[in-house]
Amino acid sequence: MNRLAEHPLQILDAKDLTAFMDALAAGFDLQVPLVAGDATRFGPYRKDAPCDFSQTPPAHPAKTLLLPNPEVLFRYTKDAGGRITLSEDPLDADLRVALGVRACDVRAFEALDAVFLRRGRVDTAYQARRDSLCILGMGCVAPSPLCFCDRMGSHPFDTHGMDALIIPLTGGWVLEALTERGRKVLETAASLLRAASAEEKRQVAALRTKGRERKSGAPVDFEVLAGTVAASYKDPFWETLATRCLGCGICTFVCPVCSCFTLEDTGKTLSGGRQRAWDSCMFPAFTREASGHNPREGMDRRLKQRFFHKFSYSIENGEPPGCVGCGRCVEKCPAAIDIREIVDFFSAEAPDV
Amino acid sequence: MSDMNPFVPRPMEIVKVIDEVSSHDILSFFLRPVEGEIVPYLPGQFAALSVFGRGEAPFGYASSPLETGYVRFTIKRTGSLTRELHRLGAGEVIGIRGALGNAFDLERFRGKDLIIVGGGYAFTTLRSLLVYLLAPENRAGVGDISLFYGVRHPGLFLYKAALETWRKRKDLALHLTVDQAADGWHGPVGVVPELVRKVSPSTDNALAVICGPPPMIRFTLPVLETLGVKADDIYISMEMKMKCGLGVCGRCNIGTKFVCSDGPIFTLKTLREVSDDF
Repeated sequence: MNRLAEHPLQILDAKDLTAFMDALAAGFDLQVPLVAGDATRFGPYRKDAPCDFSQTPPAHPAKTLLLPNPEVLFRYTKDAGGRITLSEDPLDADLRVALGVRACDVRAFEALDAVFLRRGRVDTAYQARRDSLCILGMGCVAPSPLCFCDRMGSHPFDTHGMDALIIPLTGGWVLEALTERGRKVLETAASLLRAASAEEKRQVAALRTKGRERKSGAPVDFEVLAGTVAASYKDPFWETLATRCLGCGICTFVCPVCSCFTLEDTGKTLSGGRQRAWDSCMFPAFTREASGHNPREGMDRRLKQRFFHKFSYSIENGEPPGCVGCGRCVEKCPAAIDIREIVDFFSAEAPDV
Repeated sequence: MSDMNPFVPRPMEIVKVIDEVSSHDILSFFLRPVEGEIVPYLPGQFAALSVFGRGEAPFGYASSPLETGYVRFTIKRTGSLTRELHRLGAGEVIGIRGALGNAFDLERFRGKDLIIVGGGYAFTTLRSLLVYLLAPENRAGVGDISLFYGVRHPGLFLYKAALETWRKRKDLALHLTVDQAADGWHGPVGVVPELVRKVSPSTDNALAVICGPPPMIRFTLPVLETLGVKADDIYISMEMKMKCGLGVCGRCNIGTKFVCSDGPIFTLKTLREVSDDF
């Protein structure tokens, strides 16, 4: 009897959480938010490594699951005769299960797909990781006061792109399979699950309604925003912002959408690898040419690049917007630059229709 | 091709290296695949060359696809990668990824007069185009060709033998200039935009092609427009710092366009549409 198909909402009691993760880890490469100092970041589940599902969202973006930093793209060796041999590591094709990914990060995966799977040529390493990732997402019962997914076309219980949704209740988790793959993964721990009671179903429905009705601010009209941002190239707004920005790049590293990278060789002439490492459009060296010329030498130019890319270029190129409202950059910016203020500034400038 | 890792280069053997200029910091490398055939390319395209252990950088093809048996890249010693490359000689193996980027819109060149403007070391890409257009099978495809090419001093002209051959051709008007007067130089002294303005080639049926340092481009554009070339008829080969060459790594965009994958050849009209800097 397929209990999950019969009862879509299943309950995992809090006392069984470890057993649940053990069961999943026995069958799959299980990725969970591991405690890393006062942050959490996704990494392989281990019995002795504490994990924490309470951060909304986890301090490190889930893009680490798709874009490891760094990542070896190929290896080279040179023999005594000068012959070069190139080799590639096997692709990550085994099913990986990511537990507790938030809706914002899952939305961000679609923006990454637009970069790595559509534009130019398909990035084979990214594609293998993306295809093999089963997402057991988690609804945000208590969203951070800094996040604003509801303004960016999503909400705290958005299931878009997930294989299953987890909703934490006081006594445990409610689990709902959303795809066949999600159902198969949850069934490996079926003995720990029970059908939700009428009271639990009522609680879930109430949480979902509350989540859907969240209003952290006015919903963003991306078409309008794209237009006003595109028209702002000579607006003094950017120079003023540049006087505050320290150019540290933390916004780009914690951003679940930012995916700019560099390529560099590790090792020596005889053997080594070429790796992809995260880079940042906020660093002047990002665009500095060997001649010394740099088209984005000024901080205002780099800020424009970052925000035009997020809110103008992406929309004009038919890609998802470059911000999902996770609020990480708002929390981490040492100069208190708040992306919500930028969105508001340019949304307010929109001409009345 | 989607099942292939687009970051893996193909090994290429250096067949020959030649010294191009009096300052000895620009060399031409002739390469052939260690295995298999040369990947097809067109004038205006570029490739990423790898020196394993040092990294990778983009260079425009200097050879024309009609030259068979090798591909040629003319490379200036500028940073650590090119310094390492300049130490390599015949028989050594480097990597290539490409052809990358778009190419000159040769279909639109058909039947048109061409005003070709180059400056400094960026002339490499124009060599590829000129050798292609001047080949007997292609020459009738375009009208008059006016070539403007400037460098700082006479020793820095690339492809001196080819320039001598072109000077003798009746179907190409060659205009060379140098920034500084020098012994033995009898041609004009001055910057390229000024020479274009003085010569004022006919623009009635002309397209223009520009490839050179940013200041040369900036000052040549108004000259060409004043002469009557429309923004849609001016082709510019752009340069930006690049890594991936595939429109993915995020550094070479001009507005919504990536120089590496949408370019490197853009019309002035397109650049004006996507950027406030032109």
